[in-house]
Amino acid sequence: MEYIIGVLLVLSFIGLAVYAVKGGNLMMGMLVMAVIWTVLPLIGNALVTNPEFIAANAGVVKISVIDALTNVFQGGPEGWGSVLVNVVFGSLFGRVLLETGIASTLIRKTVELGGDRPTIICILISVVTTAIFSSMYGAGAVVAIGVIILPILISLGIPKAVATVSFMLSIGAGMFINPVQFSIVSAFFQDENGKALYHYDDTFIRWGAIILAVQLLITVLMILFTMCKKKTVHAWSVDHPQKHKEIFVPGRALVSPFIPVLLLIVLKVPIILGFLIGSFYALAACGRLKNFKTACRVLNKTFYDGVVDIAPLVGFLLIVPMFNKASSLCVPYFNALLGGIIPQNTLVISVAFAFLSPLGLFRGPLTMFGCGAATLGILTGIGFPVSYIFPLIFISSTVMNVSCCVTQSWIVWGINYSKVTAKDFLKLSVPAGWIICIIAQAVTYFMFG
Amino acid sequence: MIKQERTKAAMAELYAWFKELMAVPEQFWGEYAFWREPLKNKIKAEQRAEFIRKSVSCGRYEAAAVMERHGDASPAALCRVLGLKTIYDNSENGGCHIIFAWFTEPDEITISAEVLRRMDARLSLGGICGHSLEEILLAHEIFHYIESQKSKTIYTRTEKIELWRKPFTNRSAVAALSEIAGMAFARELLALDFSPFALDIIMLYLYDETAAAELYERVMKAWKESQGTK
Repeated sequence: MEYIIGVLLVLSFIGLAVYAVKGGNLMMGMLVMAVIWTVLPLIGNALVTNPEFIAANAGVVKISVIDALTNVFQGGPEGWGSVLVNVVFGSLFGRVLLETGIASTLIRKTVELGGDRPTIICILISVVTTAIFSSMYGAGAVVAIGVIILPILISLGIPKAVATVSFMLSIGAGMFINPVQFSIVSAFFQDENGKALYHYDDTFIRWGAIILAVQLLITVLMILFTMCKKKTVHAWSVDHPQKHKEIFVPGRALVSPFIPVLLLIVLKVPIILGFLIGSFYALAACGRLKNFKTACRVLNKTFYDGVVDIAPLVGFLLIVPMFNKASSLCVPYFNALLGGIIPQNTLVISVAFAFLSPLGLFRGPLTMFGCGAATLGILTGIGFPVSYIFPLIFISSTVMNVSCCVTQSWIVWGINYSKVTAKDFLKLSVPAGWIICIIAQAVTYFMFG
Repeated sequence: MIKQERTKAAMAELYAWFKELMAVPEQFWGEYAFWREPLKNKIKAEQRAEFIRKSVSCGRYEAAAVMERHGDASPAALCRVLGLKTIYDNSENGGCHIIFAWFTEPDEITISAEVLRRMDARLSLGGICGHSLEEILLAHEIFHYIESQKSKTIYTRTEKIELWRKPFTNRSAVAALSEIAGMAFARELLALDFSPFALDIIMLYLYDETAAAELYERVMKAWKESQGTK
């Protein structure tokens, strides 16, 4: 019986992958999967007769229907409350940086440093983008920064595909130490009581900083490689008129984007407090806190805009944990079917994750923003330690999905905005992402394998 | 029927815009070119005005030199004489940054075939100014070829600004100067009675009417304001 349930689970998993590749609504896909992956194991639990299987998985097989439903549909979203709070404060901080003009000024100053050298400007902008997105998060922030950066890069003669891919890879590089990105993935790593099993600590930061550097370095090499073959170009072109006005920002305000992460890394200041300190510092440095009344108005507005920015993400974030919790009910059945096939050696797993990393594209089984919860369930069931699995799957999720895939919300926006075809984008992003994954998995194996 | 009437109205609107834009002087179009110059904040207003004047003179001078050497040759004929390859690009244009034509060093001019097709369907430029869009785009890009041939001596490449604070130094050319000179070159070469910069708005209209309307309003407002401050 356990094998039949296992096969049905794998088939439904393939169904989700096909649905995701075809561009189906992922929030609905995750909800349907949460229902299927709750119902199938419950049927299995009622019909299974193998005493060894029952004894080995007593905790899951003997769960009552009500407990299972509560665990998946109530406990799942509730457990993600802490993630959501981090995302909201991160978005508030992002909105402050955008509305004060700090983010755009930082980019303008970077361009002014490089002058008439497109390749140098593209590299400098990539570095600054990575730094900005080590704190900022969300499609709203990407769009607000992208409408400044992309026209500048393209007007300097950088091909549209190179400009868009370098921008997206730079954002992804910053995500390796971004506390919000960390919170989202770490929410998949909780025990039965909702307690975090993996922490944003020195070990993670050291590893994250190395992988950030790897991704940024490959981005720079990709820019150099594509630009060295390109001859100087002068174009007659026109940009869409920009709606934003240039705002004067004092030099002291330009450190604001880095405050939350620096406070977290250096002084261990909690990230929400870091976001608040960063936001108020930015507002004060830009003269937006002249009196209490103004401060109240500014805080209300930025909070409102910040929450609106992440509204679609919130829906997704509240459905994903249902699927995540449901996958834990399926682990015994996956183990019964695949336990003997999946290697239990960390070197083999690392090599497999490195070379199969494109399976993180199109919401595939190697991304936590797709079907990765099931893969995680299987790996956890086999007994790999969290300290190894977390970075393992964080890489393919952040590189292949968040940085390289045309199903990522802000990449969809970017390729439409700069009119790059999905094919041209993937032709550059996937090889670069694949190389990053191979190096990053090697680093992970040597650090935690 | 309704669609035909709408197209007719759009063409009338475009024609009216073009007539108004033709009256905008070259010096103002120079200011317009600086709107999207990434280094604009490093250049003061007086210096900018001087840059514009010198760039326009540079473009006119180069056009006069070409006419002296090659007579009244059309831009296409000039391309042949100068050994320039002309390519028509059929890829889809659009997005945040629409590219109409470009010169790739050392000797290749590419024209967006799509913009030529769209213009033919909407407005007969030849009927208004005696030259096709293709000729104007080619003339502008020929300037960039001349500029690349004289990169050590031509004004648009030798005029540089300092970007860094002392004791560090990074001197950079200003991209807007090339574009201003290129437009002045095309205007002089084809004896146009308007700056080809006006075509930015017309060509943008072919892709995005709302964005073109915004740009048109912005240009006309800024021009009128600049007249008021004189």
